[in-house]
This record gives sequence, C-alpha cells and structure tokens, in this order.
Amino acid sequence: MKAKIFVFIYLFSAGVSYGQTDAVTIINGLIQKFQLVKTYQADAVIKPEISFLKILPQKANIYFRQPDQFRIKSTGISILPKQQFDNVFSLLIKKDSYIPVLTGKETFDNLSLSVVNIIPLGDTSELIMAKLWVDDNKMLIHKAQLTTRANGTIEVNYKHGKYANFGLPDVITFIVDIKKFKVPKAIAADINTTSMSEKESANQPKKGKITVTVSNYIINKSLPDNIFNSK
Amino acid sequence: MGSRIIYMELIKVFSKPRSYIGFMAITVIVSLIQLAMYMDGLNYFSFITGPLSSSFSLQGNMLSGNMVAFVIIQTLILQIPLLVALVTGDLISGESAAGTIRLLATKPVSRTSILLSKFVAGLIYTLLLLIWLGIMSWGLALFIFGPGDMIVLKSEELIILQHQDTAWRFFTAFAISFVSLSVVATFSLCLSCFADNSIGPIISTMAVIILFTIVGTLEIPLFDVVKPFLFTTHMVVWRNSFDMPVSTSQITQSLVIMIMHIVLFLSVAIYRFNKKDILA
Repeated sequence: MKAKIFVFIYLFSAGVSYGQTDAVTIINGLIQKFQLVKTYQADAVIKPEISFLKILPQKANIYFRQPDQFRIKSTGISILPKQQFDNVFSLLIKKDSYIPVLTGKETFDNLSLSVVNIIPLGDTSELIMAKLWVDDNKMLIHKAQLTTRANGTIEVNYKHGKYANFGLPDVITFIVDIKKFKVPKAIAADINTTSMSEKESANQPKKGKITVTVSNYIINKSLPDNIFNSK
Repeated sequence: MGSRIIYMELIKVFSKPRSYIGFMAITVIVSLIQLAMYMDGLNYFSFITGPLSSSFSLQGNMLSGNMVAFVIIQTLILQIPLLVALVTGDLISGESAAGTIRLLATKPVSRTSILLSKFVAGLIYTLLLLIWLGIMSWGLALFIFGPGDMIVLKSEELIILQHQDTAWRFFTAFAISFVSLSVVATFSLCLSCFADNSIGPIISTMAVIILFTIVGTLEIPLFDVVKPFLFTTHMVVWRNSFDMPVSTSQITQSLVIMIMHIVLFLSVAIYRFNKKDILA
C-alpha cells in the first residue's frame, strides 16, 4: 500500500513538474515578447454593452510604459473593468509571485491553444487564479480568465492583427460579472418610472461586455512622465 | 388692447417685492450648490458612481458643467413650483385682498380678458424665472466647470451622455419644464379665483404638489392606478429628454396631458372669475 502511495505521489509530482516546466517556457516566451515593447501609445474606441448602462462608444488614447505604467485618457467619460488590459502582463512579469501550470490544449477560435493556469503564491492576493489560453508558436495570449476575490470572474479575449509580432492586440473584449444596479427612487429623483418586476430583473443579463478596439499603435517612442502622473 | 392689459399686469407683477423672491432664491440656492460642487463635487459624484465602482472604473472628467447643471435642476424641481405659485397664486386673490378687484372689474374689458391677461402675465413671469434658472445653473456651471460628458442617474440604470449631445437636451428639458410650471401657474391662478387672500392659493398649490409627488414616489399598487392622472407625474417628464434613446411618445403624451390640465384649470378659473361676486 505504501509503495502504491509513493508511486502515486511520485507520478503526480513528476506530472506537475513537467507541466510547470512547459508552462514556465510559455510564460518566459510571453514575457520576452512583451518586453519587446518598452512603450506604446494608441487610439482606442471603448464600447460597453452592459444592461444597466447606456453609453455611446467613447474614443480614448492609451499610453503604456514598462514595467507597469498604464494610462487611459479620454475627452469624455468612459468605462472599463477594474482589471484593465495591462493586468495580465503586470501579473506575468512578477514571476516570483505565482506558479504557472500547463493543464493541456484547448481549441479556441479554431486554434489549438495551450492552457496555462497561474496560481498566486500568497493567500492575500486579490487574484485567486488566472487561466491563459496561449498560442505557444506565436507566443500570443488569445484568452485570459481572471478569478478575483471581490469582483468574480473576468474573461478577456484578444484578437491580434497588424501588431501581433509585438504581442499587441487589435481588439480586446472584457466579459465581466455584473450585479444588479439599483438606487432608491427618491435619491435618483426618478419618480415617474416603474420599477422592474422580479421576473424582468431575473431576465437581465448577468454578464456585461466591454469591447476595446485599438489602432494606430506607436511603439517604443519615449513618452513624457506627465502623461502617467497627471489626473 | 390685449397687449396693453398684459403690459399693465406685468407692471403689477414686477412692482411687488414678492415677485423677486423667486429670482433671489434661485440665485442664492444655485450659487451655494455651485460652491459646494466646486469644493467637494467629486465626492458627491463618487456616491452616484458608487454602485459601479466594485467592478468598473470610470475614466474622464466627472465634474462637468453639464453634470452640475443637471444635479441643480433636479434638486430644485420641488422648489420652483413654490416660487411660481408665490406670484401666480396672488394674481386674483391679491386684487381681492387689496380691494382693487372692484376697480379692475369696472374697466371696459370683459372679465375673461382680464383673467387671460393675468394668465399670460403669469406665464411670462414663469418663463423669466426659468430663463434665470437656466442662466444660473447651466450657464454658470459651464463657466465654472467647463463642458463635458454627463451622467444621468436613474433608479435602475445609468446613462452617460457625450458633451456634444447635451445642449439640445437641456433646451428640450427647459421647454418641457416651462409647460410643467405653466400647469402650476394655471392651477394656482385657478385657486386664486376662489380665495380672497393670497396665502390660501399658494399654500394649497404647494400642498397638492407635495401630496401628488409623495403618491407618485411611493411604490404601492393602489397608487399605480391614480399616478397617470396626477399632473406631478407628468411634470418630471423633462428628465426623459436625457434618456437614451429619447422616448418622444412618452414626452408627447405627458405634454398633451399637461396642456389638458392647463386648459381645464384655465376654464374653471374663467368660469369662476366671471361668476365671482365682487363686493368689495
């Protein structure tokens, strides 16, 4: 019996270790590609599709500087998920704070992708787990799923095009869990509308989608500090 | 002749100190709100966006002139009818109380013409009050805070309007508000025909508005039946001009109902004024 348990533990450890080694290779490849881009700026159009929010697509400018400086500037009000587009790379670059585990292959958008689980080491981290679907030939992330303590699960889909060589996506789609939005009528001064029935409320989508279409990337051109400092 | 009587009525309206209370009240209240917004507006708006902040982050300038103006107009929606009624509730009863109604009735014009001229004078006063509210709230807010997008808070949704999409909405809202306040003006004028002192019509008008507003706010099935018949339900339809998309059918329906109220109150007022026994 002891021998069986020993063999099981050995095989399990070997499996994890093998998966981890491959996962580390993939993560290193992603980081290497990510580090090709020291800075970038780009134009973006942010289009939210959230049941309780009515807003037209908003134009914005995106600025990024290694390792983790990120800024969105828009002339008007725009909305993004709390976990923004730089979060996955900000996470990956801190290699000491997580364990990557390769769990296999899955088909997504007609592509065979490696699935890598990212398990944070500390139990105080806001992130519980991240799952990445990676094209390990081109070293591109096509999909990420981040499970957080406070905000549930967020799914991020990336569509790559012209800037795939730098690992920069053309379209990013965030799919987030949404809670019901309700404030007292007296506070909203919204006295002539009828409240949604429980049935109508139940039929409301539980997920919201925000699509960010990015274009006109300017890569590795120095960016002034005030872009990241100013409010 | 008609315009001359209206002119005379306007002189009477603006020769009374109480007619300026509305303008002063708007100036003081709006200035205080603008100051408060300037000092601590971002905290106020973080309350509005609070339910979103757990999952989303809002980027951009929350404290725009459009946003501040919307908050001010929304805050003053209960007070402005009082300021209108303060003057229009006094149009007939004030003459009765002062004893000048007898002299007025001896003029070579019909009582209907006298009442209609008072009605038009009341509408002009209401329009001027609304224009002043527009200048103080929207104009001053744009000057202090600058233009920008605005967030419209509703009980179960949020609407974010782009700056270039707001001007026509404000003009539409002010136009609808004019019709809404005209209902109040006509109602208080109507009550004024039944009283011999000004306090009664003014207090009664406000009491009815407060009562109807409470009934409209409470979500009790019994009240759902009567809500469509209350003019206060339709008075807040100005907010619909900030909807996306704008529900023109709902606005039109409310405007028709409010105009019907104006016609009804004015008809009752004309009937009552023509039958009024002027003794002193």
